Amino acid sequence: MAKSHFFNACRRWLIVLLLAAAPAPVAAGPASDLIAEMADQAITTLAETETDLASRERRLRAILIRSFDMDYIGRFVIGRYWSRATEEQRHDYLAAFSDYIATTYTRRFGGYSGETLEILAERPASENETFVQTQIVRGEAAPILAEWRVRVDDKPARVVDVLVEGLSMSVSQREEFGSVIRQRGIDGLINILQARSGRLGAQ
Amino acid sequence: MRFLAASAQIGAIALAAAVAFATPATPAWGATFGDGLKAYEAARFEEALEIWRPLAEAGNARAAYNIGVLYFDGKGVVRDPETAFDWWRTAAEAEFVPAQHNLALTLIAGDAGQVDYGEALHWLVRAAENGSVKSQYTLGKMYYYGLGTPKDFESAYRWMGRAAEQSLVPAMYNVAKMLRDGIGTEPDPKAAFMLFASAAVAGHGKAQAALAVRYVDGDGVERNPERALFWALQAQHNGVARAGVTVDAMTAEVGAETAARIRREAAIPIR
Repeated sequence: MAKSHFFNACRRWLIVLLLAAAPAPVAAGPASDLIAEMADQAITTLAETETDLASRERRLRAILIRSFDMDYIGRFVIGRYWSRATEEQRHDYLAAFSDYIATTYTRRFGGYSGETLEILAERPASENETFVQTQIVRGEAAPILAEWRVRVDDKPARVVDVLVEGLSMSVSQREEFGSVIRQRGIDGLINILQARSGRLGAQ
Repeated sequence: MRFLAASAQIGAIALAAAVAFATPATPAWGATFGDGLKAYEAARFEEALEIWRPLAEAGNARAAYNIGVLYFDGKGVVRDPETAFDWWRTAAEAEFVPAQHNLALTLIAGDAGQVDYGEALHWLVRAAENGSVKSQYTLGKMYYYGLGTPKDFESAYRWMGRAAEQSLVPAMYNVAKMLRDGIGTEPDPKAAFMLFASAAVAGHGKAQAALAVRYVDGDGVERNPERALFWALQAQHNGVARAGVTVDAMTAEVGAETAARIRREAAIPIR
C-alpha cells in the first residue's frame, strides 16, 4: 500500500513537471482546433503566390464557407425579419448572404500574405460556445486582436461570429441590414447582397 | 493588284489600330500593363497601382478598371469605394465592359453613394449590348422587377434568355419559370422542362425542386415519380424546404423499397 501511494505521488509530480516543461499553455479543444486549422489553410493558400490570385481567392472562399455557419449568422443578422420572410425569400436571402460574406471577405483579405495568426486563449461564451482569442501579426504593423465565437455541439465545430478589436461583425451587420430592410424590404436587401457579390475582379 | 494593295493598306491600318488599342501606353520608365498584372497576382498591390496609374491617366481603360478594383477591395490602398467608382466610370465611358458591369452593380447596392437604379440601368444596357452575360441577366431582372424602368416582361425574357443561351445557371432557371408560366413569352412546357433540367444538373436547388414538380405533374415530360423523388431530395440537399412536400408524396407513391434505393442514389448532393 505504502509503495503504491509513493508511486502515485511521484507520477503526479512527474505530470506537473512535464506540463511545466511544455511550451506556453496554448488553449486546446475543438474550438481552438477549428481556428488553428482554418488559419493554417488560409495562410498556406495565400502564401502560394505562384498561382493566380483569383484561384487563391476561390480556395480561401471554400475555407470560409466550410468554417463558418453561414445559415446561423444569416438568420441572426436579419433578426425579427426572419420570421416575416416567405420561404422563397429565406432561401434566396441565405444563398445571397453566404455568397456576399464569402466574396467580400475573400476579396478584402485575398491579397494578404505573410500574416500569422496566434491563438492566445479560450474563454467560454455560453454553454456550447467558446471564444477563441487570437492575434493576427502583420509584420511591423500593430497586431489585430480577433475573437472567434465557435459553436461546439453534436455537429462539426463552426464559427458563428468574429469580434475584431471587441466589435462584433454580426452585430454591426445586423444594424446595417435592419436599416436596409426598413427602407427597401427583404427583397431590396437580397438585391443589394447579390449586387455586391456579382462584381467582377481584376482583368 | 490595286485591290490587294488597298487591302494590305487597310490591313496595316487595322493592325496598327488594334495594336494601339490593345497595347497599353508605356510609362517613361518602361513598365507595361502586364508588369502591373504580374505584381497584382503576386499580391504586390502598391507596385501594381504605381504601374497602372500612369497608364490609366494616359487612357488605358483596363488599367483604370483595375485601379478601381484595388480601391474597392482596399488592396494596396485604404479601401475607398467612391474613388473606385470614379475609376470604373472612367473605364466604363471608354467602353471597358467589366467596368460598366461593376459600375451598375455599385449603383444598385448604393456602395458609393445613393442607390440609383436609373443610372444602373443605363450602364447595364451598355454592358449587355457589349456582350456581358452577367449584365444581360441583371438587366433582365431589372426589367422583370421594374427597377429603374417600368416592368417589362418581354424585355426581361429577351435579356435573361440571352444569358441563359450562354449557360448562366440562374438565368436558365428564371427563363424556365417564364416559359412555364407564359410570362413575357408564350408558355412552352417542354422548353421549360429542358431548362429546369439543365439548371438542376448544374446544382441549382430551386431548379431541382421545380424539375421534381415537372415529373410529378407530367408537365413538359412524361410523369415519373421516381425521378421526381430523386430531384426533390437533391433540392432538399440544397436547402429548398418546400421540396419536402414532394419528397413525402413521392415516397408514399413509390413505396418504401424503391424510395430507399432512390435515397441511396441521391445521397451524393448535386451542387
